[in-house]
Amino acid sequence: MTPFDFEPTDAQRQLRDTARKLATELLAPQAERLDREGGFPRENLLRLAQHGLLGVNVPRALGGLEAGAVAYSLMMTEIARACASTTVAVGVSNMVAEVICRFGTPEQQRAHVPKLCDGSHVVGAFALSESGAGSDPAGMRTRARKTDRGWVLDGSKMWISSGTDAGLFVVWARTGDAPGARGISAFLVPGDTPGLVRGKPEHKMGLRGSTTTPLEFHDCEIGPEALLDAEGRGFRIAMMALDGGRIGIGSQALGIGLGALDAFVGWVREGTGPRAASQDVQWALADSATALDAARLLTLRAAWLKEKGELFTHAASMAKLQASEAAVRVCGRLVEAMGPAALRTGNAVERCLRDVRVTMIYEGTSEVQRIVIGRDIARRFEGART
Amino acid sequence: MIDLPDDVVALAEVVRQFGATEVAPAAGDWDGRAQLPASVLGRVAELGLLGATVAEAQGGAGTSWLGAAVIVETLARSSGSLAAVVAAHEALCVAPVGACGNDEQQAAWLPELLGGALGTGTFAPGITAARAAGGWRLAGRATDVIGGATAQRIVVLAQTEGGPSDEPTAFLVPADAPGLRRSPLDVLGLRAAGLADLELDGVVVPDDRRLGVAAGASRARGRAQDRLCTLLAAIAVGLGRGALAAAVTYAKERQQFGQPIASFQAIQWKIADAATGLDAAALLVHAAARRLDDDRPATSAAARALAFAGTQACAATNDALQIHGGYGYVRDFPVERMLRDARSCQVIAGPPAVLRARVADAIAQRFA
Repeated sequence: MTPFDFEPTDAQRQLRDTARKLATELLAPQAERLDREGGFPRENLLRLAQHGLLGVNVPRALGGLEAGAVAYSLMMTEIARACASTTVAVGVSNMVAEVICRFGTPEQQRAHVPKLCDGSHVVGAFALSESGAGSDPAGMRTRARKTDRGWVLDGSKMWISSGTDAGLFVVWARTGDAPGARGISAFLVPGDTPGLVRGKPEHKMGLRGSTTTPLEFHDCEIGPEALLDAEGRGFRIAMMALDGGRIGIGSQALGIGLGALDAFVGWVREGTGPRAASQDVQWALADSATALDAARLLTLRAAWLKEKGELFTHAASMAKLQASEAAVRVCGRLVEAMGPAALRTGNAVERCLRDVRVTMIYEGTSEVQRIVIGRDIARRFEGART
Repeated sequence: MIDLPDDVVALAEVVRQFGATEVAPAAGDWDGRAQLPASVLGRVAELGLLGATVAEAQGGAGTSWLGAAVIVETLARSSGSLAAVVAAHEALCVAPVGACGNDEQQAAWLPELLGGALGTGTFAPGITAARAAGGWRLAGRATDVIGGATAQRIVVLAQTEGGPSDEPTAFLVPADAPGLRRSPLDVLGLRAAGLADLELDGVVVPDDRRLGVAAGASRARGRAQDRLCTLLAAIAVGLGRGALAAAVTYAKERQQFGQPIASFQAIQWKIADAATGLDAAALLVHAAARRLDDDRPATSAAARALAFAGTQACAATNDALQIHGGYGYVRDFPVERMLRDARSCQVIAGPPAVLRARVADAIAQRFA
């Protein structure tokens, strides 16, 4: 295996700089208002699409940048550093495009991927979780019934990011009576399909500029071309989407932590008192920067493994676990060091503290990551003994 | 209930019932609107929980500081904001009036403070009081005052200029005094606790609103600070326990992988660690409160209590949120509010570094 090179290539650096410029000039000035007013940053997402950021790791032939998984991770971190909410829609839409590239037929790819990349689908969304199926997707109850004309979806989904505005959903549903993870299939469902009902957005602690909604399917008819990959292969697609998604969330958490640190450093430097000299402040800076650097390395390693075509499941889980927990700790620590000033809305540290918390939950909780990592290591250990 | 005398346990039961039936169902709504309804403060007063430490002879319940700590801890299990307002009323307004007010002042002011008129106070440095015709002219600013936006009476500790001494002196300032500007704050947590910045721009206070002798005020400042820290620590414990209770209830109901998630070690360890940390924090709170009751120095004990309880409350609410998964992140469930409240409670009186410095100073002095 080639050694892991920490230095971004010219192409990666170029994309990171594009993302940084958009983050600084477009997203950062609006992040506070977006958090306060809520909603969905449709116009900004279109701007990001125009720069290719909704299809970073997607072939050029399908409208993407074909810049790879490392570039994707770098981009996500830059966007999250300015506006965590916008990152949610960006990350999920990229993963939807990647999943279709990986599992879709050439027709499905041509029908949807260019529209995801150029923003004409607005963004893509995943519809996997249900009220009773979170960490355990095998508890899924939404059904897809086969008919002469295709499929009919019935059931409800929950926690759907970008649920209000997404133009395309990847929907998982049971197509057979096999229990657990078997008998689950994935479908491509355009947002305007009759019978697909978008619910009211959740009132969340953070990420208030990203909508999270339930979805309902009432006799929702879709054609035979909606089925992604073969019948009964949905669980495998979900696991692949989650692996890639975890690199995205690790990158996002890292970005939020860095954003909080940026605001904290600004506060330290503008202070007239002995802020910078205080060991409390120094320790907070040192511990935060160290923890986030560790997160960055784990995240880049996972992205690099993915880019090389290696197995990266447990590396992605490690990255997501470390980055999300480090970023949550960092935001708390910075509030402690800043004191009451950090509690005021409008202070980026306050927003980051609320935004970052869900990174330990979505795309698999920290507990699920530990299960994935622990199981994987135990399995390899067994392999080594035999 | 650990380590508490019977009368305090009985008091806690009254507050617990009130909290469960009248506070918990509405606390999320108060947080959303960033406001406490007047009616709930009226109920708190009716139950004798507002100004509870006032002596019975003066119309209060004569509750100990240990009792006051248990009151706010128990309220905080349902609403951190309500508990914080009650704590500020008790520590920053009622207690200084009781300690420094003369008989006439106490007779005039305590009944209204017991009856539901909300009080708070500030001992922010830099507020000055200069002699003026018929009284004193106050100037300066105070930040992050709990109840500052809603209180009707504000005890202001000011450095006197041209007075009998250079000692700080306390004044009871009505909230509608000309020259007093209050800027309500939009904040992370304790959103309904009426947090505000205050600006005193030539507020004239008549002589009869000057509290007691100057010599007592310096000590009163330290005491007010210790009382506030002790009560904030108690609130932190209450927030942690409220979140823990919600998490345990949820974990027993929520089924994943064919079993309640409470059966998983990853959940059990969180619950065990939170319960242990919060019990330890409660013991530190009780120790500080007992020192206040015994009129012994309590600065180090109160600082220890808040530094430790703040950390434990943040950890416990964080784990309680995690146990709830996605549901923990939305406002339909109380834990995200409790997490925000715990963070606010931890730092509202200053960075925890200040508390640790107080503890370290006290220990260094002992070895001097």
